[in-house]
Amino acid sequence: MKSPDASSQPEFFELLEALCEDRLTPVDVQRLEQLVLSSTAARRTYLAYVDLHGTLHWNAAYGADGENFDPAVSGRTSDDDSKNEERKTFRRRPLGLWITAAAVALVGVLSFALGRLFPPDGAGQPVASLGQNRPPAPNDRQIPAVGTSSSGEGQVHEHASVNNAANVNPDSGKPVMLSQQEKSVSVTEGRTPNERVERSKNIDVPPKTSSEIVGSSNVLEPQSVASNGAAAQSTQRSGQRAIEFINEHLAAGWKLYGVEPSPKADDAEWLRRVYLDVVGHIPPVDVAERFLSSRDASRREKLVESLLDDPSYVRNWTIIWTNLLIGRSDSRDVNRPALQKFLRENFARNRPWNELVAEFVSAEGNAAENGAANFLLAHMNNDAMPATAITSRVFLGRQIGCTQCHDHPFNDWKQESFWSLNSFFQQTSVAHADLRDERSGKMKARTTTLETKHVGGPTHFETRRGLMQVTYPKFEGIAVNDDADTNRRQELAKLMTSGEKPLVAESLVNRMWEHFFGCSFTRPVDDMGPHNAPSHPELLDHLAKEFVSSGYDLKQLMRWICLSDAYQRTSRFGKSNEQDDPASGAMPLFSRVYLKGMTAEQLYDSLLLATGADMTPLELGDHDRRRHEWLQQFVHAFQTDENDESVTFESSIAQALLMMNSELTEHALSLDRGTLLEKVVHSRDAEAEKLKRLCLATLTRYPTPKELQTLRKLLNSGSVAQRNNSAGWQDALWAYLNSSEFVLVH
Amino acid sequence: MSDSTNKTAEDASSLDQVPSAEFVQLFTKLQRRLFLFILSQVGSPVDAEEVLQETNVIIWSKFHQFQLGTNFFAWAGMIATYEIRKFRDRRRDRRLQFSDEFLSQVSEDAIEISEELELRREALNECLHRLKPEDRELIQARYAPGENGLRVAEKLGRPSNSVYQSVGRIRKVLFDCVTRRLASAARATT
Repeated sequence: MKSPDASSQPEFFELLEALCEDRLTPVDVQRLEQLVLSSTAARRTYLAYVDLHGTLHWNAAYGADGENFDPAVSGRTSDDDSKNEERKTFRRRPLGLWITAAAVALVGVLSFALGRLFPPDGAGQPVASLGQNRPPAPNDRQIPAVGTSSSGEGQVHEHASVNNAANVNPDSGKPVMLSQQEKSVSVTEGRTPNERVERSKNIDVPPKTSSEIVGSSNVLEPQSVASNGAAAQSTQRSGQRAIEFINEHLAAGWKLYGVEPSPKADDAEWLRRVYLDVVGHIPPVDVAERFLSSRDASRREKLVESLLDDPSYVRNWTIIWTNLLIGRSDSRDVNRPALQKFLRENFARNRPWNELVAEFVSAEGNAAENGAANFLLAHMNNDAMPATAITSRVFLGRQIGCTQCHDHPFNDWKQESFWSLNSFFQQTSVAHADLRDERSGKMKARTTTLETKHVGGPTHFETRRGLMQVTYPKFEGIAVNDDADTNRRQELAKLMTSGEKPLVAESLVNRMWEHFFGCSFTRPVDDMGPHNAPSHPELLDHLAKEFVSSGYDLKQLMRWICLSDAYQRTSRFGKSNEQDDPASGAMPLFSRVYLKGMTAEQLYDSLLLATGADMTPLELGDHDRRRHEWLQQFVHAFQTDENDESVTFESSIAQALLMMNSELTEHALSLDRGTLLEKVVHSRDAEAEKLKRLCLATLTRYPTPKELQTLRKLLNSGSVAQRNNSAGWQDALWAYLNSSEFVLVH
Repeated sequence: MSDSTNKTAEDASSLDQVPSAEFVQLFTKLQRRLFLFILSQVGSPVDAEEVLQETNVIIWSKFHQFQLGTNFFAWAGMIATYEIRKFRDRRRDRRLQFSDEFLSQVSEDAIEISEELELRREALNECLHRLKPEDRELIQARYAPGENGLRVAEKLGRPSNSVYQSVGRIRKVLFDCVTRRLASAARATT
């Protein structure tokens, strides 16, 4: 795959920055050397950047023209003078009212308090665990490379060791197929290896309805679960069944691996998590207060139902899928608002997932009028190679990007299969036109249209040996007529979204599971396939089939996951399940919910919601636009074969605030009308009550006695009282927002 | 770069000769350039200053080897290159250690584009003036002698990462501004 020159990579600039601040690790130094030596352009950039850094350093000490430099006394005389002068400037600099040394000191206290939140026996999750939640680096574990795939092809490949390592029994060193081990729990009737029907012990599986073509009306009506009687009941039954299957299946895994699952999460932890996962922001303080005081036995079920109907549900999933479909960057030639409008409308009516996928794959028309067209419009560059790779990765969970140049190293995907998928996009073109006012002839707007040309024929590609090869539109071995009269993308949409358990279903289940549990059945989530055996193949398989027979009902799938036993548990872990830690490379057992860092969008929205800094309802487009502008500061887009982009967001409040416009930030931490601080400080409550409210609004829990003590001491300390009475409160709020607990989804 | 005179450093350091006013002028004028040349190969300004001092001592002691009219920077650069390697080999414990290949490639390119770098340094002044006042203040605070990002963060009471972030952003703004200015100047002259 082509890679952009090092001199323009964000990574390169990050390393240069680290060099300027003396923060390079030895590994970084090696990487920097490598990049600098990789091209002349990179070397020039390096020299120019370091030169700029050095010039600033030099000029500050000795002056821009070197006149102050006196060789006889080695140039150090001017040092003190200029230092004093700088100090003066420095002092004149108005300190942001919201970031004070005291607040920073408080952050330390709080982090300590947070550390105590977890079991003190050392088994607890360390506070600064954000980075540990990432997927393991390939070489994290030294386990013999045994490549075994669930379909029993038994390929052995060195590089595939990590993913497959999950299925290696550490004692025997032999591969253990979870699916076989678990036969004791879920009875598996094997007919042929490829055609098994799972039955849970005491549950009848209804005959599967297979929908052949998308758009045929049978199972594909949007299902509104709560509203229609008989159908609702049967859905509820099947929902209960799916939840039980998840529970039994995961419990069997815990038993098999001798793991004791974490206890049930308290309401506060669960509430915050389910809010962030389903609607994308922390719970509003009044909701939290009500929920935490509720004694209703079915309060969790009711909350899930209300969240699935919350307007923010639509907003959240629109954000998530916009990012997956066209990325966060503005650079692509697409109509983002139109795509979001399309997503909003369809998530609002809970449109079946297969129909949505079909819409994206087969979309035609104007970017503004058909929002769905923007997915392909974003990726039709480079001979539709990004379109091919991204369609496969995002909807099918299959990474075939590398097969455009060569056969897949770990499985039997051939180079040809990339190009036969690519062939489906060969009739597609992007047309630009200027829209003119009919009378004046002035240009009104520029339009972009996704069109299908009336052409046929094969697709040509070049093998690595330089041979030209020919291929035809073909998906999973099924060929499609390559004449000009066949609309290939429509055919592809049908092939992708039909069958008993198409890849789109499996891939979506995997993605959804990761979204809620912090880890998917395969890692990475979108690199499924025979080379990467899932941790729970039967569960994945079963959920995918249930998802298909529910009519690709997204809300139903979320309901199953949110109400499963495992999702009720705490993210903390004890001695008995500390080994269940995918971050260290272990196979996930889901005996606890793994920690996730907030996304940039979650952080932005939660921050505004918690502080009351922006009273614009989150659902309004205005808010989306502002957040999007804010986000652009972190995003870099590349015109690579997969249209990659990098996001340099680190999930830190400090970064988030600093990158916001200062007015908004100051407002967030001010006592202006309508802000959280204003309401808290001006209420008639006692100090302890005020602090409780502050904590609940930000961390969705009540403060610990230790925190209360520390904060009260701070509020009443001399230095704070002297400044003014609101500074202490600002410090307290700043400390809560800046805690690692705030930026984690736990 | 003539080594034709056979006098050794010891001879010169006896200071029985005094460098010409022209030499002193050249020497003074090229200090910054030399410092930046060294910096590109040692990475840290503090280390670069140390190497510069050592280089200066050698330059001073060998002034009679330099023939006026030849390229002073090239001559001094040779001495610096030697001192850079000496410094590196003496400070094996340093985190920042560049390989021989890196040093020779970078020094070669640095000399090749030294005129362009000089133009960039001039453009930088202009770009500094175009910064937003608060950005300029922050970058001044960061580069005040003896300062670094961490200490500025402590003083401002800001988290260090946020200061790194801001300072980095401003540096990138300056870098892009300089590049743009040079490009437009180049367009204007062609």
